[in-house]
Amino acid sequence: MKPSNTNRNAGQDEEWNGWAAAAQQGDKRAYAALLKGIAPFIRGMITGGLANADWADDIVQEVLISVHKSLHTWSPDRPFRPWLAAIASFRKADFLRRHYGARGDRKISLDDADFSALPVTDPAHAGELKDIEDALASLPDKQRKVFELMKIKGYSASEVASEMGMTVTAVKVSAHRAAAKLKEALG
Amino acid sequence: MSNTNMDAFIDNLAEGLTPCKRLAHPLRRALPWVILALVYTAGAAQFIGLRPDLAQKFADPVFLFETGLMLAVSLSAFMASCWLCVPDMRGAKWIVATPVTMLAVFVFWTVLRLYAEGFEIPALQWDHCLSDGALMGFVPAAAVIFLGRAGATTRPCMMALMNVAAAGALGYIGLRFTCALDTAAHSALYHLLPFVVMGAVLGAGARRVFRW
Repeated sequence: MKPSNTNRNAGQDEEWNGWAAAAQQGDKRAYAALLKGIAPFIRGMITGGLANADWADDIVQEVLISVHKSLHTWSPDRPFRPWLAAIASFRKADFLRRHYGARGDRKISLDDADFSALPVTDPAHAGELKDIEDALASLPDKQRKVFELMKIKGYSASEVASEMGMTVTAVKVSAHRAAAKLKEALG
Repeated sequence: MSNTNMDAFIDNLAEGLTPCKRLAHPLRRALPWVILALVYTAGAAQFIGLRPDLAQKFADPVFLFETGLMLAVSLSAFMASCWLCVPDMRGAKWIVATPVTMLAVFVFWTVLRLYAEGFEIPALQWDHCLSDGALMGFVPAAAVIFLGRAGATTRPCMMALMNVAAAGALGYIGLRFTCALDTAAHSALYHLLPFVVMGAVLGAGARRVFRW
């Protein structure tokens, strides 16, 4: 008969408790066994909800380092699993906070295959970029500036209007004409 | 990271293992520091000078209720701080509810008193209460922050709140023993506000202060 999840967890908890208690006494082999035993549990716990599966490795490492630093706070009269789960949740939240706080989700590695294949980054498309630059250069100065401010830099029509000393309607008409000319020039 | 790399990483960690001294039970850790903080606050109040009508005040139910409530807030926040040192709080996450609830009762009570006494804010000036409060709150605050840093909290902001509640409530009691002005507005502005500001500062830097 197969052991149930509860029985398996109870056996695992007992094993982890024993290893952790021995690790606190300085037993390196028990400690290595403990870390190797808990790594898959941590991975399983933190992987759900991650936007990038590669982050799981970083978070597992951070959790293991945290376990190393805070092993003295675990008490053998308490189960090891909730103690570990609290650290794993904390480190996952911490990692995501730092990642999104540093706008890591908006950064792209130069080694990223998808990024390298984009028309603007792929050298094979370098000529197309030059065509766009030439088409832009062929526009009248005022129209080009309006188009750059609105369509490339992302300013609103009213912001461009006040910057250029034009009416909002004139800015919109100018941007529309510039787009039409570019479309015609680029085919 | 491949399995081989993870194994090497784990082996490195295991190689650096040294025997560690277990953190004592939170109650045992808290007790000496609570006694030290109480003795210090009593000594500081004596040093600053007790209010002349203190003996009569011990017969005043409002005074007894307020100081008793804040003593309970301080002790329970001290305890909660020690439980927060353990990542899973030893399964007693409810423990922070005790000081938070009592603090809420105190704030509600203060608002009631302000309503009854009138919301007249005392003139802003550098009152002796600010410096006395700083003197009385400093050592308990340092003690409880030191206790917190020795652990590994997974709730740094809650830890900061509990630390400030523990030290601030003790400082408040000390000030009630030394300052003869009992109005709610004076207590709120000069006795409690400095600790609220301290709490905001500590809360903002909690992740750094309690980083591990």
